[in-house]
Amino acid sequence: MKKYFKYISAFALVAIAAMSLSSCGEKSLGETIFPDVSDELDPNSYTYKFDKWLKENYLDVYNLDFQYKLQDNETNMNYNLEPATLSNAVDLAVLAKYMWFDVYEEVSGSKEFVKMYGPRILMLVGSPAINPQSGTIIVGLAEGGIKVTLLHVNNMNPMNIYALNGDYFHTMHHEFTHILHQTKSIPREFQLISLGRYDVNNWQSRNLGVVHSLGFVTQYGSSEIREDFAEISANYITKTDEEWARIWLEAGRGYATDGDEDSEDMENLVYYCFYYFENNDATSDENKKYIEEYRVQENEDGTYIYRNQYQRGVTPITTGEDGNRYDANGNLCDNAGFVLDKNGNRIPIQVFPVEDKDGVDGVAILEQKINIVRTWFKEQWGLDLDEIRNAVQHRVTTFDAAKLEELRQQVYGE
Amino acid sequence: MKKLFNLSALILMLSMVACAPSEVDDIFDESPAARLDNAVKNYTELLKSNGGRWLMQYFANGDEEGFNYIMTFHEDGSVDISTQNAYVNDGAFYSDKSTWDVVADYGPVLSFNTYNKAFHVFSSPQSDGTGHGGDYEFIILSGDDNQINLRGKKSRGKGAVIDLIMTRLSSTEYPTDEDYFTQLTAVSKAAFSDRINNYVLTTGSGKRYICNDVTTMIWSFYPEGGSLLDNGDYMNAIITTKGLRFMEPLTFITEYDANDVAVQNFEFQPDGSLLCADDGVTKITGPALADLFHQPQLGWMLSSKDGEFGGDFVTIYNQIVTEAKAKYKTTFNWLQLGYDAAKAKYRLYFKNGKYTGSIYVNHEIVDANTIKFSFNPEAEGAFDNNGQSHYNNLPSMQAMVQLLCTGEYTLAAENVMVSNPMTMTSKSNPSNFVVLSF
Repeated sequence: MKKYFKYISAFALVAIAAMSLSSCGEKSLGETIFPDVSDELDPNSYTYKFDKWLKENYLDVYNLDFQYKLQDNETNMNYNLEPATLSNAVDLAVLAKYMWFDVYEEVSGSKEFVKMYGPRILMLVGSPAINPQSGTIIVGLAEGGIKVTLLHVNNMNPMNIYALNGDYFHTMHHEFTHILHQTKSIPREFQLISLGRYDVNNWQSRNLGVVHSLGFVTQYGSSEIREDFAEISANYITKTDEEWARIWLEAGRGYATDGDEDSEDMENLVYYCFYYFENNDATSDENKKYIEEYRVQENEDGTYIYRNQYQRGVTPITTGEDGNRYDANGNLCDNAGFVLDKNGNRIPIQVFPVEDKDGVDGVAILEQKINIVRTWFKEQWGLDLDEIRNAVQHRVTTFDAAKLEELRQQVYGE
Repeated sequence: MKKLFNLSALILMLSMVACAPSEVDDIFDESPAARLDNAVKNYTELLKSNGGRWLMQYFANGDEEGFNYIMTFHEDGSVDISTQNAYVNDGAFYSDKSTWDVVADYGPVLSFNTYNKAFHVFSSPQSDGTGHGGDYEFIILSGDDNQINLRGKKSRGKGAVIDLIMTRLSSTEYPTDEDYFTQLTAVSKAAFSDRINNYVLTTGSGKRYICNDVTTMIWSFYPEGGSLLDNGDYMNAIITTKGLRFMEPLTFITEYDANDVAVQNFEFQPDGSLLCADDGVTKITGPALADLFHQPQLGWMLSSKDGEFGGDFVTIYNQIVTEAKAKYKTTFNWLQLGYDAAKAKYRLYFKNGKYTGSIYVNHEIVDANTIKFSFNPEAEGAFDNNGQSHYNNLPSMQAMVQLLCTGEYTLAAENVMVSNPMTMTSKSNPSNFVVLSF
C-alpha cells in the first residue's frame, strides 16, 4: 500500500507542476514573426513569361506548384543532382500539360478531376538520381501522391515523344493511379489474381519476358499488388500498339535458362524461349542448346529454324564409292560437310519453342487485369481508360516539330 | 519518502523558474525569421550592386584544383557565368546565362537554380553518381562591398567544409569576361613552370617547405630536409590574375597551427614571388638559383645569339669562328653551354660546319647563387672525338674552356619564381657573362 501511495503522490505532484507550468503560458500571441512575402510575379523577371504561364496553367487551374528552379532541400540530399535547363523546363512544362493534364481534362470533361486528385507539386531535376552503390538510375519519383519529381530533364529530347511518354508521363499516370486507389481501393479480384507471385525484394532482378509470362506488365509491377495495379494502368495508357504486341508475344511464351535460378546473381541470368538439338540429335537432353530469339526464324507453317544455320554432318566425313561425301551416319553431305536433303539442299536446323511450364497463362492474366482496371476506372471514377489511352496515343502519333513549336509559343509567344 | 520530498522540491523549483518573468532583453530587435529575410534582401542587393560582377574562386572538392568563374548578377534574376577551364567547352572560353536567387535556407543561400553549362558541370552526378561532387548552392557566411564569403551547402551536409570567396571584379581593368581569362592564361603560364622542381615556401620564422606539383594546383609540401612520404601534405589551390589561394589555410604547417595563423591567400610580387596576404611574411619562391642550375631536367643552355654572352666570351667566340675557318675551312655555327642528360654533365657543345662536338666540364655549387666550373683534359670522358680535336687544334677553344673555368660565377634572374632566363656573371670580371635559358 505504501508503494502505491508513493506512486500516487508522485503522479499528483507531477500533475500539479504541469498545471503550474502551463498556466504560465497564457500570453496573447503577437504578430507573426514571419515576413509578409508577396507571391506576385515580377514583370521584369528574366523568367516572367514562363512563370506567368505556369501560374495561369498549373497553379491557378490545378493548384499545382511547378518547381523548375531546383532547391536542394526539396530533394534527397544523398544524391548529387543538377538543375534543369530553363529551355528544357519550358518544353517539359508545355508537354506535360499537353500529354497529361489536357488528356484527363478531355476525357473527364473538366479540369476539376485532376485539380482534386492530381499532384500538388511537380518538380524538375536536370540530372538523373544515380545510386553510387547500386548504379541504379532514377528518372521519376513520387511522394505520397503530393509531389512528382521528374529527373534527367537535361538529357531529354523534346521531339522524342515516345521516350518522354515512357520516362515522364508514364510516371505521372502511375502515381495518379496510386492517388486514385488510395481513395477507392483496388478491387479484391485484382488483388487475388497474382497472389503468391509477387517478389517485393528481388523484382529488379527478374527477367522482363518472364514477368510478362507471369502476367505482369513490368518488373516493378511484379513487386506488389498496388504497383501491379498502377503499372497496368500507366502502361496500358502510354505503351504503343507495337509495344503491347511485344508484351502479348512474350506473355504467351515459355522461358528457360541454362544458368542457376537459385543463384544470387539473378539479374544476369539469361532466359531463352527457343532451343535446338546439336547434330539434330533429340535423343539426349545434353544436346539441347538454347538460342536467342534474334537467331530464330519463323516459317510460314509456324515452325522455327535457326536463321542461316544448317545441319552439319557427323564427322568423319568420308568419300563413298560413288564419289559422294557421307558423314559417319551415312547422310549425304556437301564438300563443306553440311548434310543435304534428297534434292541436294542443305537442311536447316530445326528450332523448338520452350514449353511454358510456369502454370500461368500470362496473356489471359494480363487481359484480366486490364479489364479490371478498365472497369474500376469507369465505375469508380467515370473515366474511360480506353479513351485516355486513345487520347494519349493520338497525341503521340500526331506529334511533330510544328506541334512542339505551337506549344512553346504558349509561353514565349506574344 | 525522502526521495519523494526531493522530487517535490525539484518540481516546485522548476515551476517557479518557468513562471518567472523574463528579465533578459532580447539581443536582437527582430525575430529570427525577419533577420533572415533581411539578410536575404541585403545579400541580393549586394550581389546585384555596382554592375553585379563578381569573381568566384570555385572549388568542387578537396582533391581538385579550383576554377575561376565570373558571375554577373542581373536585376531580372538572371546571371551570366563565364569560365575557361578544362571541363567546359574543351577548355576554351565559355559563357552561359541562367538564373540565380538568394533563398532562406541554412541562413541566406545563394542558389544557381537553373542549369548553366559553364558552371553546373561540377555538380553533375555523371555516370558514377558522384562526379566532381561540386556545390551549386552556397550559404552566404558574410560579405561586404568587396568580398562575399560562401560555404558549399550540399558538401557541408555531407561533412565537408568547402569555403569559397567571391571578389568584386573591375570592369575598368577587365572590360570583358574574356579579357580576364586571357590575362589569367598569360599569368598562369608565367607564374610557374612544370619543369621546375622544389619551389620553396618560407615561413615568417625562416622555416622552409619544399613545394611541388604546383602547376597542377594540387600542391605537395614537406619540410626541407624531410620527405613527402614521411611528413608531407597536399593542398589544392586556385590561381587568379592577382595571386593564389589555397582551398584551406595551411594548418599542417606546425608554425601556423601553433600560432593560429591562417595562411591561405598569396599575392604576386613584381619579382614573380608570392607573398602571403594573411600574415604578410610567408613567401613562396622558386628554388635557389644554384639549385635550379643543378636541376638536370631543365637542360640549361647558352646559345651564341647576340646578347646572350658578353665580355671575353664574345671575344673568344669570335676567335673560335676565325680559327675554325682557317683550320677546317668551315663555318663555325654555334656554341652552347648545355646539360647532357646521358652523361649527367654540363658541356660546351658546338657545331662547326656539319660536325658537332662536346667538351665536358664539372660544375660545383658554391652557395645559393654561386657556381664554379672546372675542367681536366686528362680525365676520362672529357671530350668526344670532335670535342677533343677542336680543343687540341683551336687555341681559342682552349681559351674558352679556361675562361669558363676561371673563378666563380654569380647567378641572377629577374623572376625568382620562374628564373628563366638566368644570367651567369663572372665574379672576377663582371663584364664576362652568359645568359642561360631552358
